[in-house]
Amino acid sequence: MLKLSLRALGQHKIRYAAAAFAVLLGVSFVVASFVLADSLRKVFEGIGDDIGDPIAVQVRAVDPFGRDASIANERPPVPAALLDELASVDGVAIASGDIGRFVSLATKPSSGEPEEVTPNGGAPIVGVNWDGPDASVSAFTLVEGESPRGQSVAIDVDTAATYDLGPGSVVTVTGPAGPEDFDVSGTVRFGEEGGGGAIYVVFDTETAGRFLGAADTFDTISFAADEGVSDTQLLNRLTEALPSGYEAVSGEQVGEEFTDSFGQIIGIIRGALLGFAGVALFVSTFIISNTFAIIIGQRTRELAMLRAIGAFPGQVFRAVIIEAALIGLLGSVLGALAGVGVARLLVALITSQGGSFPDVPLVLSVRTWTVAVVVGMGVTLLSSLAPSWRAGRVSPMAAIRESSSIRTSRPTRRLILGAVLVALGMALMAIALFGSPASTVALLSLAGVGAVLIFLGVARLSALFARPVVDILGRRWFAVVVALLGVIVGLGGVATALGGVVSGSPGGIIAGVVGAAALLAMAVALVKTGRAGLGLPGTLGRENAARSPARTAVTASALMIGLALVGVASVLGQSFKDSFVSQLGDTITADYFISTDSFSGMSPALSEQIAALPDVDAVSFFRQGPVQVSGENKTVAAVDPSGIDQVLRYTFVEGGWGGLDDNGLVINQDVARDRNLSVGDQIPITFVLTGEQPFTVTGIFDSAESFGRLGNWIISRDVFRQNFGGQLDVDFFGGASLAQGADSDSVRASIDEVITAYPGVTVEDRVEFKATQESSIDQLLFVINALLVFSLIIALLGIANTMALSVIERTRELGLVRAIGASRHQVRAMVRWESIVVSAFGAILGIVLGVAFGLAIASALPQSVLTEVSVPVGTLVGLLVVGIIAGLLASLWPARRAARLNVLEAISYE
Amino acid sequence: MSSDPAASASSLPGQTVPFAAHTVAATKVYGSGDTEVVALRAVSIGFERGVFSAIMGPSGSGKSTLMHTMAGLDELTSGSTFVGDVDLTTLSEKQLTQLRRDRIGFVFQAFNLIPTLNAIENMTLPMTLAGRSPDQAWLDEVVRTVGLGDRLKHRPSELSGGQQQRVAVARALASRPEIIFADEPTGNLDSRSSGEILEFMAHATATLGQTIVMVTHDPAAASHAGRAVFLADGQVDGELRSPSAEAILDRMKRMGD
Repeated sequence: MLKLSLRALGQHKIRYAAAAFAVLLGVSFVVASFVLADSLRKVFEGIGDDIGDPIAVQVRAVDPFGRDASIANERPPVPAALLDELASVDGVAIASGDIGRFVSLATKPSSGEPEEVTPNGGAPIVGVNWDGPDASVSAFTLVEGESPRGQSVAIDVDTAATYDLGPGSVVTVTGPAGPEDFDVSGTVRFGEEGGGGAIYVVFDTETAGRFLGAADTFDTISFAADEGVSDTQLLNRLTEALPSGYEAVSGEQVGEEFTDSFGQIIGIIRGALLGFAGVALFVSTFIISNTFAIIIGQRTRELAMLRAIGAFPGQVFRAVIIEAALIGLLGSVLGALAGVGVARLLVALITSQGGSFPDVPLVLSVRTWTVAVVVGMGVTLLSSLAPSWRAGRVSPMAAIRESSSIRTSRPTRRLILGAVLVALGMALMAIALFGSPASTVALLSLAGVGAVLIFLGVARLSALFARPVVDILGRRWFAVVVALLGVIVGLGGVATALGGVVSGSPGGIIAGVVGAAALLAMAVALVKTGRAGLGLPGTLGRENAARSPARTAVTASALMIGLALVGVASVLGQSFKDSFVSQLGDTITADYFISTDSFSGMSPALSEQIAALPDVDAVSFFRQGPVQVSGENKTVAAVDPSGIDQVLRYTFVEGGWGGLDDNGLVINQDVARDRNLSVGDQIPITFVLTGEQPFTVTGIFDSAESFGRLGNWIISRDVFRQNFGGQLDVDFFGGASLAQGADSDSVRASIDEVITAYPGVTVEDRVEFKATQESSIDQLLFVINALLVFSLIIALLGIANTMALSVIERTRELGLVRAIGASRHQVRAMVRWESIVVSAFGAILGIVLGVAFGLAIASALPQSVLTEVSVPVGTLVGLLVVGIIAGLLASLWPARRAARLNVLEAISYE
Repeated sequence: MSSDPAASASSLPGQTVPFAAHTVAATKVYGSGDTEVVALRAVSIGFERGVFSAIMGPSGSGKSTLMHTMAGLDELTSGSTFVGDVDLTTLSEKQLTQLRRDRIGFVFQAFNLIPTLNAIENMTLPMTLAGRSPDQAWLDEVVRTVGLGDRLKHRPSELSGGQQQRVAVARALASRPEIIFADEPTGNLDSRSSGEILEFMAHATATLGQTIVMVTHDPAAASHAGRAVFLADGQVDGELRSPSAEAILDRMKRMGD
């Protein structure tokens, strides 16, 4: 019986190719998600090993909040005195204090402009202390020159090479205390991996203490053991010698904690990518099940014959399901291999949109192979289950009847099942959106399952209105629309050609000509198909599309899913943009926005310099830090209360900013309600450094306040600095407003002048700020849409496959049409028209669902996130165009095949 | 039910019954109300062992329905039909499938073979389905009788229509069923190939002792049979023994009156 399955696969390999390819695409996306996550993890494991290896034992303060955070400077510091005390513990070879802070770096060449140093792949620039290999326990090795002394720094060797730095060069480093110039003493390398793209600026310990704001304290103390003393022995001895409030851990643990601290973000990246991979797989299931249904339909007599001569339903079912398993296996294996390539594509996509990704070797683990095969075969088997089941149930009488096809589920049953699925899906969606589920995971899974059910339900229900919709779409007006679209595409082609020629460069001209040729070819096809759609081929194509509503519905639904999700993203994206614009008018009052894209944040020195500029009326800078409120970890935000109103205008339901500098606290209305707080009430906040401090509520802001995102707990920036000491003494955002009557050009010029000393800091006016915000939404939308392109390609493949299978099925009929006088051109137009009509149907379904989902989600989002809800009509029209063009592309090969049929062979085709 | 057809041929109590298959008041009604069509009206007929019988009749006479119900492909509305002494109307769908597999052979008008299997694989397919290995001596004899020679490894698409149908008959013979039902086996063939197939079937009954029941509307085809049963309007309307084509034609003409 296995032979039967294998032979059937061999016989129908072209018909099955699309199903296998759909599996391949879906699986490759899943694999790419795992490959990227594994590769990222490997990078951080490498760095973690480099960090941990040289360290025998590390001593640090116990985190009073009990977090397992490994970010050293979020713990209380270790006093320098403790180092001297512990250095004398028996078995300690070297004891050195560690200091590490994010900094910014710029070159300062003797001639020419300074150049800002920007790390690749989103890595940070880290300022650290190191006194040479004999005095410090760390992974640095000196490559060239000398270890740093006084006002000099060593730079990591890769950065030195990139920016042409070496002993004798001068650089500007900006730390928490502001910018300073340093001589370059030499170059160093961190560990074996070089730190995964991180840039290192190395100071001697004394300078680091002063410049990085950690005088007489260290983040941690690292120890190397004497020969003959094991790491564990040293750990035990140090633990005994430690005063309370401190702990000793192994170097290994330090490395592991570093790696683990990236686990969550890697998990989020992988989860997001897997979400899109899941969409692609979901679309694949439509293709696979449709392919099997059609092929089994075409093999009805063969299968019925098997039943007639004594095959049990189970045997026929097994024969077909084995075919599915083999296709799944093939698709999975090829998909796993293709996954590495897809991972590269994804990296290219992320980096092209201003994102960043470490330059990493890609890892295809055994686990990933397993996932690929399980997912690929699982999806294939699951989606071929129903068609295979029907294959087993075929009546042996079908072998004898002249024409017969496998009965699909009855229309009434389809209607009921579809309606039930949609209702269930909508219920789940409603719970997810409006029932305030316990966690984000719960929300996403409820909404996800809800969406899947709705898609499945609509795919079934749409069979009911496929016929009427196709009947409307297949008419002359739509043919005119398609022909007009062809004309527009053609004009686009001409413009592309002109653009290429005008650009003048050979590459530009070639790109212009190639692009124009492709667009013009598409334009010609659209116009021809549109014109033919007016006549007999249009009528026949429309009738063919309406002939098998179930098949049309499933084919269209595959396209519907991808386009619906694009629709959701664009509705939400547009709503976010409009919300932002309306806030920019009403409540965002600053004239200038100062921000940084570097990890280092902005030195408080910068805010002072800008505040001191003439004609700057008010500034307020923002920062955040971890605190505890009644034992719970919270993030507290800090603002300058004096300037806040001229930067962001909060809406208060009670109180205001007054008294914030005096341990005052402004909270969100929701927080106030949950904790039963009102203005004047006292509440203690616990800081890492200063412990519990009393605060008084001075204001409660509206929970619909969009700046609620900045923080639910807001204190004064001065109070923040008092309680965090030298830690986290940086701002991440600032706003400034002009004095009345001031000349904006000259103020802008003076702000620009100030920030040149701060690498990585940018200033924007309102127009630029708006453009930046909008473009970051656009970039996100672009990435989302690009990730959904996978699903669209699979859907397109599905349409092409259905069309190709239909052409095979109707060989006789096509031969007949040709025999009675239709031209090849007319037959081709007929197939294309059918494909375009089916695709347009799918696009319309997708647009309707996308807008519905988008509006539902937008209305469920709190006002603090979204104030406006808008539907981007232009984008939606674009989606219909995408549908029409997808239909055209999908029909190219099937239409060609149909047109090339030999008339005589076709009419004698069995 | 025995799974070994060779053993069943000698041990079945059916030996005492002269018929390989027979019906008792077999009635088949399609549809209901206004669309009701009576295909068989209480037909009682038997087909003897070792005889090549033909069922004749004009379109709509019920001859195909009779064959389908006797072969366990379709259900009777009332009455009974037997293979040996087994009443098919008492069998479950699963038992019917097993009966078709082990005790009945089929030859259809068209689409008789699995296109992806070669000739010899098609011949042994019923045994493959049953998970049995074929009786090699018997298979050799059938293959020799079929006379395909070196074409046994060819796919159906590489064989002529006549050759394909010979493979189909060989497949029916290969599992040594108690009875073979042939549904217009020459309907798609030219007269020369038809002759070959019919002679081959007559030969199989004569030399191999096989029982064959063939449905046809072609008097020339029926003349190869040892017995021609006539059906009209769902009822048996006489029969001829060792008929000539002329006699059958004559009989058919009178039926039209």
